[in-house]
Amino acid sequence: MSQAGAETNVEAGLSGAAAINEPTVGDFLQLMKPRVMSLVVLTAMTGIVAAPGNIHPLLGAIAILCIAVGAGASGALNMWYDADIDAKMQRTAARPIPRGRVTADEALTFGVFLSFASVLMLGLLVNWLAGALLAFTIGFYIFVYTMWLKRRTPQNIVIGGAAGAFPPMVGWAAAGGGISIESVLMFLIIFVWTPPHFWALALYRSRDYERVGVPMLPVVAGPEETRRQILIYSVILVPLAVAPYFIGLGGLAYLVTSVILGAGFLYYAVRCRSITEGREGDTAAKQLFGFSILYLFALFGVLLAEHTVWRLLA
Amino acid sequence: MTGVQGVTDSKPREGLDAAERDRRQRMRSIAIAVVLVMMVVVFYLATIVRLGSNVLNRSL
Repeated sequence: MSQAGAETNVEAGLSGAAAINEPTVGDFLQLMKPRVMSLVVLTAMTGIVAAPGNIHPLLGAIAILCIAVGAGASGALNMWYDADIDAKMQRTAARPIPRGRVTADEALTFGVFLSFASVLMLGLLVNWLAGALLAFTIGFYIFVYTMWLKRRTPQNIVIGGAAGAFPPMVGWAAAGGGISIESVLMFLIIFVWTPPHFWALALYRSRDYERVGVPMLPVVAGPEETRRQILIYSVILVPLAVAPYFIGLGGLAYLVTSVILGAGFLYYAVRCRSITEGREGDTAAKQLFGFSILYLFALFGVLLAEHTVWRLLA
Repeated sequence: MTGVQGVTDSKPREGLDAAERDRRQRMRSIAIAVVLVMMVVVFYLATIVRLGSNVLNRSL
């Protein structure tokens, strides 16, 4: 959607006057936040392939499908609950509900159905530990993050980020690995990655959050403190992301990737900390945000590739 | 609930001609049918995979 279109939606959202059109299949797919789903699929797949034991490929594919659908259901329920603020924020004004393509009730029904379907399918066809973890993930994202924390505390995405960190643990459990140090480490990497990732975004979108009263860290504590927190979390994240090599979860390729990209992450975090003013400050935050996505995709992509090769050679 | 205040569900579906509305409804129906058929196939195949060779180990 064009900038002008998004602005029109912001205005329409402010006046609460979006017209409802007949939704297409694509509108429902958009409710599932496909970009978030792609990261969930990658991390869940890594959990499944890296786990000890041999899950049948069909059951592995079903597990990935269920986890992806569960993540999509969370996205739909999040859009249902946050429809009022989404309509007033530039970044989210083009979502299906604010645009008037899907009603809030349709999104709620869609999200609830997919939540139950994904959890039941994963439990019945793969195993119930994975099903229970997926149910917990969806519940945590909706009840703890979306409904409880998001509008109340600047720590919203620190605690709420756990929801996005669970998929590799669900995948690991689906493959029969239970809960182990390796899966917890994958969880921790995403958990610690989430605050600098979202705060970098919040830095250059802070006016959006301020307008709708969401207490993101830049709004409540200011950009200076946010930049400091980003650097602190980045300093914790980088060595944590190297740790899989030392417990045998990652190989040499992972070690090299995590060290090189870790240096890049720190570089962008330091830049974000030191360039604070004007357009350059926003650009530094945007660069960190963009690099953080590449960083996590690369870490889990290399981990997945390594374990796939090891399995093929075994 | 505070989250969905201001977003009502009673707004009229407007701005589309009947043919386009029918087309969208048909596409949604097809998508639902495809998903349901896929679920049946997935359950069938997963059951076969989980049973495995145990299918053959039964008293005749």
